[in-house]
Amino acid sequence: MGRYFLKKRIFALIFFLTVFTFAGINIYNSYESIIDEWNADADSRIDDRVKAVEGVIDEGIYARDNFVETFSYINVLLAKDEISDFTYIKDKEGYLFYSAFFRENYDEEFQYALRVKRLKAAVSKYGTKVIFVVPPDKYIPGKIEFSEGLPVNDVNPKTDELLLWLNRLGIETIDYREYLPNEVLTYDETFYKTDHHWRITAAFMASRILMEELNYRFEGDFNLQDPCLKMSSYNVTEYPDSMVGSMGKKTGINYSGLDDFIFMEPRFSNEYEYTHLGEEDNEKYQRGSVYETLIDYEHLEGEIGNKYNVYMGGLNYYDSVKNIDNTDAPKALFIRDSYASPMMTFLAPLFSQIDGVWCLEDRDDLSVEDIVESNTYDYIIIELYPYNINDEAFNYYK
Amino acid sequence: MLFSSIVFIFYFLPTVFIIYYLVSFSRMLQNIVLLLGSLLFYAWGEPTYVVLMIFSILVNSSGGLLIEKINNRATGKKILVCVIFIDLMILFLFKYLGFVVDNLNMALNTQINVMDLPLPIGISFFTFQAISYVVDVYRGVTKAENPFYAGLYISFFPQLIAGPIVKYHSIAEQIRSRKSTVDKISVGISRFTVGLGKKILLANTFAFMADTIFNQSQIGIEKVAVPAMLAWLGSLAYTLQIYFDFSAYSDMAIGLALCFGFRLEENFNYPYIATSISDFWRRWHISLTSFFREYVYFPLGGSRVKNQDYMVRNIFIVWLLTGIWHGANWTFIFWGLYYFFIQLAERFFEFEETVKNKLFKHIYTLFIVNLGWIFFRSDSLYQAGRYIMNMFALNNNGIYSELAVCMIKENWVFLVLGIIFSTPIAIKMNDILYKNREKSLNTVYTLAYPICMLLLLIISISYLVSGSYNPFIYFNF
Repeated sequence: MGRYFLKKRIFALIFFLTVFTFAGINIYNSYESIIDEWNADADSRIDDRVKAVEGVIDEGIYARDNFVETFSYINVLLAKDEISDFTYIKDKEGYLFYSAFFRENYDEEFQYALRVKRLKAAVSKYGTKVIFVVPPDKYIPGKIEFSEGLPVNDVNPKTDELLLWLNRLGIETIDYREYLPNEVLTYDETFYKTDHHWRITAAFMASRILMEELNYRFEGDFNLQDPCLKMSSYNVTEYPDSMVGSMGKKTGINYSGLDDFIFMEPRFSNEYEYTHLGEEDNEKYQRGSVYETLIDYEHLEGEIGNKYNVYMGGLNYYDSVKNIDNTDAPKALFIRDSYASPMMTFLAPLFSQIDGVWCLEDRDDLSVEDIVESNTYDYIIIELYPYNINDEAFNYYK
Repeated sequence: MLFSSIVFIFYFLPTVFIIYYLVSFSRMLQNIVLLLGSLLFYAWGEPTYVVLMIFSILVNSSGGLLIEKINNRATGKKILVCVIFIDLMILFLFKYLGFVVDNLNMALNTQINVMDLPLPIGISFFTFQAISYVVDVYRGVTKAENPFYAGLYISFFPQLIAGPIVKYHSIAEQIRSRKSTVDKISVGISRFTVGLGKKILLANTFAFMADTIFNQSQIGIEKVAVPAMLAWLGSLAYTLQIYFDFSAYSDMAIGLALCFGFRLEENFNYPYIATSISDFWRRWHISLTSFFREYVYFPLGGSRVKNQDYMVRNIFIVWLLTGIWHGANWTFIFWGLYYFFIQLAERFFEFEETVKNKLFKHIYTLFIVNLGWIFFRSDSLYQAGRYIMNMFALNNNGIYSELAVCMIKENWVFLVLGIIFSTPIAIKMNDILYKNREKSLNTVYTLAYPICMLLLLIISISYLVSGSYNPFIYFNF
């Protein structure tokens, strides 16, 4: 009987030492944030304030990454092909995908296409050309193999449906699935294992395709020999095993592994004025070369991180890049998500101004309708990653 | 606040524990700390309804004091009836009014509107405890307490939200005088950790499987077919989920209560090894069964009635109330009556005595219980019916399911552990190991235990931090 209690006593001692010490560290670290959060919105309902504080406590837990990695490692030990309750699934090559247990209805796509058509009609008086571009999804039916029964979220039918309606309504489209991956850029060179984004080289190739298509479809006058469209005009630096995307961040690196990151740094530069409204909600203005404005080298600094964000910080609510050295060039607006950030960086030399608005953010001060009607753009490029095809992404001309 | 949350484990528990033992020179102060802690615990999840709980405390403690002070049986009875009426009215208003009005509207083709009030967390649990308090005082089994102590009994945070339902006379003495010892705290912390692991690693895994499959079944056969194999997996996952979810919460509650010197009654005794439905209900949610037995069944006459029809009536009332207690839906009422008929049949045929084959008895009990959980889990009797049709491939739904294979493959470790820990194997192993006379094996076990428990704690917190699925079934009962 003595030993029965002895083992419990030993554990209780360990419990109190670890949990109470850890609790002390957490309370000490999060105390100010908790008070700030509690006072942040004194007018809101008390239930909401409690929830907000609990959110701060959960997010601010000390050594969070270590816990996530422990969780990640356990899933490796269990040889699991899905993680976080089927939020992500892994194919036989180790690529992470989103999962879905059943298909949604595709009855809204016509409405989305209609909104794009209305947008096109609204700006036609300025001679603005509108094109809708869809980056490729990682999941390619017939090519990607999973273990039996893993329910992948296949957004290809949804993408097809949307593109079909856009085409029927006379909207120009680029379906990047037709171009990427290809003989030059293999699947592995197009996609990350740990992230949903395309790789930088794929984004570069997509940028060139976009310009070719703008010239071809709208009789544009873009110089396709411009250095910004030539791979040879870039320093290409490889950061092996250094990239962890948003999917890998959520699952933990032990489970997702790491990707190599290829950074393309222009060897040329124009002078830019760059204004952007980021997640901190304060507008920033920068003037200088591409290295001082559009490329955020901070994201390359850590050994491991989401290095995709090196271009324009990944994603902002709003961006405006004025090209001081090419003021006569056309002016473009990207209604976009994060896929467009490297594209906008690569293409900035070809435009006098490139603006960007994050289509998924419904902000009163950033209405797409106001932006397109208060500026005269030569081109409006609506870029939307297939998973983002939803009502929020078409928050205009409803 | 949930036990399986960061805020509870790293903020609430250490703070309350430290303050509680800092004031260990005064029992009254300790009780006040626990009362305030309990109100804060409740207010964290239900900031508005904490007022309702305080009201319930005031009504019941005043009622208890009045009954004792008047010391007149007839007047005391009137007060008791009034207090119980208020308790039940609160429960009715928040839990059943919408259901009753909806059914009246349907039956009478009327359109009576009632405000859709959210259900206060744990209302059924704390209402029953409050009733137990006044009844016990009326019966003279225990004395009335001051509002602080009565309040502590009703709102004691370890068992506030999901029981075990503590009868007042079983804990009254402990509120005034209880002893905290190192061994009690050690056993309590170990029990809490085991409960936490059961909840986060097992119950939540089964919950995800069950919810996914039941939700698919709800979408409708026209859109998503749920093949028989998947339907069976969903029902088994729910059978495991509800056991581990609820028993884990009871483990945590009993463990936490021990940390503060209280001994609560056990709530589960491996119900899935039962050999009959009567046996199952002696092992499942023991505190609820015991409550109904003591406060409903016995006062009605129980089994010691001259006319067997009265016994049938008494059993019927208890099962009807058991069903209604679980929720305002026909599914729960059906579920209660389902057990009434089965238990009655078992008694009629003297099942426990006449059937000798133990394996058959186990299979029969599990089958009946599993089927019962489908009614319990379904949103409507229609869905339950469709689900059962799915299980027997009567819905043009096929048998084989790739998704079922995938779910089993991905979660086989948890499923195996779930089945193992549904039986007393672990307890038996524990007994064998610590009673083993071989000293070296005993020493290894004594040393391995804290390490394994620490690993369990770290893994559980890792799952918690990673934002795993974390629902709680009995939260809304």
